[in-house]
Amino acid sequence: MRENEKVYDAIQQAKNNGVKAVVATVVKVYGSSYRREGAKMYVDETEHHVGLISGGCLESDVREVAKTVLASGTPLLKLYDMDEDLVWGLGLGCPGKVQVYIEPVS
Amino acid sequence: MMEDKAYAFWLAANKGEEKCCLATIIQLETEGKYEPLRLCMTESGKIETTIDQTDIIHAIRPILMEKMQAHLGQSEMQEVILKSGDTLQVFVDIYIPKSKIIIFGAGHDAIPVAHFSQKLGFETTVVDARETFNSAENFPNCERIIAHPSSFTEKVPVSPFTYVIIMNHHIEKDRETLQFALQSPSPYVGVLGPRSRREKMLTQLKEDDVIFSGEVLEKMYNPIGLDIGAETPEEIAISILSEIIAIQKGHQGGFLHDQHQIHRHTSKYEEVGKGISYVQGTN
Repeated sequence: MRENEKVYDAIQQAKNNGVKAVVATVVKVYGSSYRREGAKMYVDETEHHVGLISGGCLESDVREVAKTVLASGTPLLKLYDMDEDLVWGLGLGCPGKVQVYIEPVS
Repeated sequence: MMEDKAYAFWLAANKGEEKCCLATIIQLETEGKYEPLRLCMTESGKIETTIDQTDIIHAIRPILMEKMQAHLGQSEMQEVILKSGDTLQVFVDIYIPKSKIIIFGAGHDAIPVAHFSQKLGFETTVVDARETFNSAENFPNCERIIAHPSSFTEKVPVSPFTYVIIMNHHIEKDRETLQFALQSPSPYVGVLGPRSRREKMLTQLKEDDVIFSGEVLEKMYNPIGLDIGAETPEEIAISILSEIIAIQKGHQGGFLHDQHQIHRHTSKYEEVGKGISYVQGTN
């Protein structure tokens, strides 16, 4: 998955600079989904973020969850259940049920 | 956080030329401070891990090995059953080296192929001995190799992740290129031109005692491209590149219309979520 290159570069940079960071990874997809397992998003303590794990529906929530993980230093597994009719109706291209693992990496 | 050497190894491997897998044990309740438990392994068997328990390492290794041996690699969650009967949820991430495209022949019809190939994220190389055609102006941002077929072996690197397109519009050059490409580890050798031309080239190679097995010939695609009625150089480029994407992803091409799944999965997906009208499964 090419998009992850930027995420890995961001993680490497965070490690080099001693910045606390987490990465959110799509670990399970049920039904249709915009992104597949392995899609990643980077979030650090300065709220800088890189990468997408959906068509734009989950990112803001993941940024919030990332704060919890940054504070606790413990990973979290979160299930997002997006109603297909609802999200298509809203013009958001990411229906389906997606499990996301959010873990500290730096 | 302690230095996570498995993750550092994974980050480095993601820039490499070899397949690599990272297994991360999903930990939701940790006693004391969280330390990630990971095992990272390359296809050639190099390992870095933060897991101490050998029974866990022994249980995870074959899963990673199998994943890397498959033609298609999709990251996925795996349940690992230990000898003790305990189970672990492990997320297995896979890195597959960047796919490349090499275009042999720098004619005007190669220009849109190179252009779209780059847009799609393929590292793109154009090979042609004619410097006026194989120019930076015609192929911006591409690697260009000025070479005759006789020097391909030393000048043109082809990996198992390199897709080859032959479009010299010159049967002698195409034949020599075809011989080179079929002898390389490339998974795909697309040859522009009609079927009769293919037979002619293979017959001539046979006369030179160059004979390819059926297995090798299977990676030769001719006529090249998906059947979309392409006529202009741009349409032909899209047809060729669509075929390469389909092969890269293990798909057949064709219409999605009326199909019940969009992506081909390497594992079974059991559950249907709320409001989702169909199940994705294995092909």
